[in-house]
Amino acid sequence: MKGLLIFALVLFYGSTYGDELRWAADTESGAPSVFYDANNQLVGFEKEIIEEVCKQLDRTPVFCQNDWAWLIPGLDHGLYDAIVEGLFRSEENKDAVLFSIPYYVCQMSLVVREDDDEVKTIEQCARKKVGILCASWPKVVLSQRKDMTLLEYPNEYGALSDLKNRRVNAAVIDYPAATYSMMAFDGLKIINNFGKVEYLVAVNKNNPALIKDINRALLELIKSGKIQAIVSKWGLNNPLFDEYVAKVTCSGSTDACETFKQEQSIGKLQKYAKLLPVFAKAALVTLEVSICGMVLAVVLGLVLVLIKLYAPRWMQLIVTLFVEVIRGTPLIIQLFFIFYGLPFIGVTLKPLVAGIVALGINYAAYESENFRAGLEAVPSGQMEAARALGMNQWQSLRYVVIPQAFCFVLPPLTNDFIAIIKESSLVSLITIVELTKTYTTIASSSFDFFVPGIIVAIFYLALGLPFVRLAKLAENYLALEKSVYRTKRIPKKTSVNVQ
Amino acid sequence: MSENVEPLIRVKNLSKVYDDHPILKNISFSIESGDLVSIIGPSGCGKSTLLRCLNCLEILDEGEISINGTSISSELALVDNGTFLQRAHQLRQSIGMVFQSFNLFPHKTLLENIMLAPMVVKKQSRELSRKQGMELLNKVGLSNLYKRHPWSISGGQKQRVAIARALAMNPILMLYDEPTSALDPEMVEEVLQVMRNLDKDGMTQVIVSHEMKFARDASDYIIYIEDGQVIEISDEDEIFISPKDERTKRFLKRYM
Repeated sequence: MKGLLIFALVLFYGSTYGDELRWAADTESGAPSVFYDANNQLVGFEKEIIEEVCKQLDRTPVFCQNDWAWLIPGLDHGLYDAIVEGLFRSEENKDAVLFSIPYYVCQMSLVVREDDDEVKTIEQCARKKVGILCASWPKVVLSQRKDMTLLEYPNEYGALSDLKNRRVNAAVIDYPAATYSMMAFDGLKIINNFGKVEYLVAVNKNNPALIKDINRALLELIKSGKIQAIVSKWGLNNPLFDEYVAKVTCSGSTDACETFKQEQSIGKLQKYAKLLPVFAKAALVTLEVSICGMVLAVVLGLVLVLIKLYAPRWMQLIVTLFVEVIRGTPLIIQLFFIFYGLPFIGVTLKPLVAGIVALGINYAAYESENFRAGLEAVPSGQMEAARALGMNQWQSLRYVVIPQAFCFVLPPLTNDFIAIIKESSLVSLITIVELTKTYTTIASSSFDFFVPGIIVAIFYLALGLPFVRLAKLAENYLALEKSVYRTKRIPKKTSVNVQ
Repeated sequence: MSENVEPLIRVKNLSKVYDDHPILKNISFSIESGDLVSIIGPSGCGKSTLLRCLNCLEILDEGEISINGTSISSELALVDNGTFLQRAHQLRQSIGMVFQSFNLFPHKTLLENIMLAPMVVKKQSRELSRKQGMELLNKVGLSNLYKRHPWSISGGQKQRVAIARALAMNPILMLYDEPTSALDPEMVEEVLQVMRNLDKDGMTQVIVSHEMKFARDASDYIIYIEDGQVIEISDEDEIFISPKDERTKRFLKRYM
């Protein structure tokens, strides 16, 4: 028993104060910070810097991958000791973690298309669409300007390919990422650099000892010129960095801990109240995408099922193939294909349109099967009676079969409507800011996933509730209608599809 | 059956096969305008199929059907399917059909059930269809129920509405596929009465039925079918009193 306790203590001690320094970054589109090169080796200027820091502290660096938006929550959970990936201090995150002194300083780069002679500075982007990365410094800076439309992307590729595809007029990205992205994108240019970004190491707020160590190490490394060597090796020198280095080497008194003054944050309730209009606005976007998507799904689904049941054989085959492909592939792939893939064949859709089209097509495949079940649930005698009265096939469908099938289809249709409200959250991946995106943005920048989570859940429930109610009404209506089928039924005769 | 009048219906060498099972074998007969004809026979003998062939709900495999001068044949279906389908559609518009299971449209009121086909097929105005619909409901004695839906009326009433619905297209011929089989016994008579009245008006009617008493009382003559073949075409009294064929005799014995 005692031995076990000691063993546990050793484990605990070992994991917390061991020789390892676990540092985290997101390697997705991470060049030149931290990324995997062509030989699948982890490289990057920030990786080299943290390795130098570890050398100074006599610790072994261990790399931990985590999604960019979840880096700080991961730190809170003790998944790793430090974050080293272009992290900056902002109003939202300043209380959540401890920051080191800067290890790199640069500007933001304004990227435009090569053939664009109009935009030269960020001021000229007024009333234009500007692509930025979510949770990036440009976002913090540009959000304060109300005169431009900001589109948020999860990575540089999204922002720059949209710039190329003319969905946005410009993109603002940190200088290192912009410089390296230019090598992968032709037809784009960096027209201007502005502002100032400081890259800092972040550690858990309960670990001031570590931040002191790291600060000491960074100062040493700057004084000895090692960081400058790494920066120039990666070609990331810039005037602001040189200025910063000069300042540090002269005074040697940049103490980051000084800057961690506990500012009185505004009252929590007040903060949450401020979130409500933001969520309400986002809810409208969710509703718009869902309703438009569902209308498209119903109309397209009806066309699909009518082709499948009544059109010539070759058309039936095409529709069957289409439905199987749509049902057999993830919605998210379809969304990316429509948004990022179709521009390759010259079809460039706006984000909202692409989102609606993707949801609409996806649900149309399901609705068509839904409708098929509904049409087949209508007794075959109904079609025969209509044909016997001299109606042609389309008239029989239009006036007799479809209205009755609709009653059968309504409950599952309502269910799908509620489902599409929830699945519409996927469109946040193509820059549309709707409920889910708003939640993750607010939560990941304020590091409060709890209350905003409850708020967003309430919004989703409120959106779905009218449709639950509608389903109930439909059921009552159906109970009345269906009673007709309770009358004495005779065994079905073999019936031939009347042409 | 005088020879100088062209019969309304002429069926020549009609055959129908389901999955290699012959249902109708080389059937020929003719029916003159104004006649009320009953088709009787044991279950599964093909009498319903024959009726459905007359209304082109089933496509004939062999032979020819000619109704009021419009003829369709298995050859035509092979040679020119477009014309065949067009004629079949045309024929259906001039033939009323009443089903065993009524097949009223449950999402419409009784009046709307009757109004639908004239409005959709003939593009007749709503007002005229409504007026005509009320007249027909009156004719079958149900005008007071015009607002009701099919689920709220009795089987006999349903079948009377179904007849009125078929009459709304002004058919030259009415086909009944076991119109009283799904009805409770006390409701059979009200339906048969409607058919008797139509007979008085001179409507040509063909009835597939197990209603032997009605067949005997109301029919001009009776076609007895067994095993997909016409066994006997006889005067209504003759067939019941002294059937010519042994098979007819055996069948009728069970009903008499």
